[in-house]
Amino acid sequence: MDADQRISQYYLQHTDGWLLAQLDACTRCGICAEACPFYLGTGDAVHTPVRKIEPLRQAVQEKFSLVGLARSLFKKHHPAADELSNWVSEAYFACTVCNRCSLACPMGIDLGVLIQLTREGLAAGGLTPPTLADAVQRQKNTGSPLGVTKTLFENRLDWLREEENVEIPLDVPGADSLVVFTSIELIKFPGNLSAMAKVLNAAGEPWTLSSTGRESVNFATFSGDTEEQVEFVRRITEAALELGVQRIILTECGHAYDAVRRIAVQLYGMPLPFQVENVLETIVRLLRNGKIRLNRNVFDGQRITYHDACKLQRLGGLIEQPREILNLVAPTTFVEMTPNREAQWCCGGGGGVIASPEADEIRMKAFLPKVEQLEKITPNTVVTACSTCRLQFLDGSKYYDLDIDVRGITELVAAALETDTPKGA
Amino acid sequence: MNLEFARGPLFQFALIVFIVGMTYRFLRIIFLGWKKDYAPAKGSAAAGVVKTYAKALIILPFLPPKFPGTRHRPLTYIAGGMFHLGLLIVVFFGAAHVEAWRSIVGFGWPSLPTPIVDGFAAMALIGMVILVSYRMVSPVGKMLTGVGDWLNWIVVFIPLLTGWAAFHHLFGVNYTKLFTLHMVTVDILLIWIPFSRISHFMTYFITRTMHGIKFGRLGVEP
Repeated sequence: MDADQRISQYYLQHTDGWLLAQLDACTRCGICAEACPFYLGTGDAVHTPVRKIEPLRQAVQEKFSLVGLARSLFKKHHPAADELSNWVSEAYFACTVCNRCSLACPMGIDLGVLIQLTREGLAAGGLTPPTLADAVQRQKNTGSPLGVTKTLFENRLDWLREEENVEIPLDVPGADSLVVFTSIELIKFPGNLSAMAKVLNAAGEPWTLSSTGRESVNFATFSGDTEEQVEFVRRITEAALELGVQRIILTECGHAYDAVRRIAVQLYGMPLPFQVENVLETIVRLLRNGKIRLNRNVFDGQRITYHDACKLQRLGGLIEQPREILNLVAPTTFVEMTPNREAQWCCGGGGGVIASPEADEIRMKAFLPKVEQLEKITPNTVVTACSTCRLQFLDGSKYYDLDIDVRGITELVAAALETDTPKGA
Repeated sequence: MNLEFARGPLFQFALIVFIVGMTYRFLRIIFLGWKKDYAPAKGSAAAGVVKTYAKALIILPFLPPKFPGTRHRPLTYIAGGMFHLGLLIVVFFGAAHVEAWRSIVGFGWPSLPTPIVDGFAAMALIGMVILVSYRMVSPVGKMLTGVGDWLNWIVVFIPLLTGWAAFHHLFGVNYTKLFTLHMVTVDILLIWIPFSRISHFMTYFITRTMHGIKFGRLGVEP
């Protein structure tokens, strides 16, 4: 079977009442364009969100509308084979699946889910962009899309323990919490790891890392490979069950939280013996329970703003937690960007876009709404709770020559920790 | 065409096509069903639904949107609101229409004073002109608008215009001729709706409800 046929077959197999309602409800008003950083950054109408689901719409329309049925008698198959590469670049390189358009749509159409479904179909047709496909393969074989094997992982932890003089437990059965980091943090932002260790140690919470469930990044989410996506989540949940923990804590990553939260329950078809928590929830829990206390003056004289990662706020509901934390840790220096919370502009790097070299140019343009937001409040530090956003901000601020520091929220909290009895050296 | 035919057998036929067609579309969605959401809920689905309708029906159509992404095009929102509200008032509260409803469903309700209904009709017409100009001028509008969308616009605009013109005895055409034209185009509209995107008047309530449930559960302002 050809790619185009496999693609439309995938879409038709996944056509349910939900999908028909979503496609029928669209009035082609184009308001979604204004919600999209890729449209706004480039000013090019082709990046209108609803156009990114064209292959899906065409395949479904061909079987579910009279016009489509009539057309299929005379014309070639849809989506047309010669247009597929265009749909691949729209769905994978010009969209971070940030879901901003879903909230702007006057009809309430869930475009984020539709674009994800579009990606899945293209992936089923074997059209996954090569860098994403390679990363999924690498994650399948080595346990991490960045190729962090078990040995590398352990070496890196040893180095951190020594360098930062911090206790990092590994594979401890019966701990309360299993913490799962992203390999981006392990490689590029190791400060997040030691910060998290310091916070949990200060709180006296028994925690552990796992050498099998050690990667929270799920590249199959980006590529649209549903089978591997579930498999990568399973690695984490199996580790949690094996270690007998009460909760999984996912660190600074957007999509991991959504993927694990949704898929974990589905995997076992029963209530799980553990909870799935994001680091933002962890910090708020420790603060509210009085397990950690923060010095409120550490960041005096700075100007700190918070960037909501799209998968954490619009898909995770983690909206007030970071504000609660920042109002404690930087009470006089925290300033909001406008718009913020649900309406926050996406950084343009998520959804696998940052991993695709084909998207390098457009993702800098998609950062433009962000530049505009930043210029209005001129912060010197941008805090996020997503490592992909952080990478994108580092690239973007360099590209547009912005003088900002980009930090993970865990690092801020660790830097402001009040310890009654000094630990370590 | 004969007025009695247009408001008699043809109208009844159109009404049947409309009802059967829309029922089919509705049942198709219900029977094909949807997937269960497995993630543990963080907020109330019901509250999400209430909020999303409150925002979408009350706030957004008339005020420049609170969702700041749409900063460049408040006019599209306003024009959309003008058209829909105008149409609903005219169809359900115009004196002649209330009489039409009485003959269809067997009972009627008080109509609104004529000058008010007339104002809403004008508002609906102006809203439609703004919406179609957007489709002709804006690159996004041009790209998204296909043959079907133009037809939809014409099929809705003509009955509105002829109804309004008949009421005002415009264009020097006699009333019966305009009224006949109005009835014929209404019949065409009723037949056309189930086959077109105009059926969004029904799917809207499905997608909006699902939207409220999803984001309500996620703990996100829908």
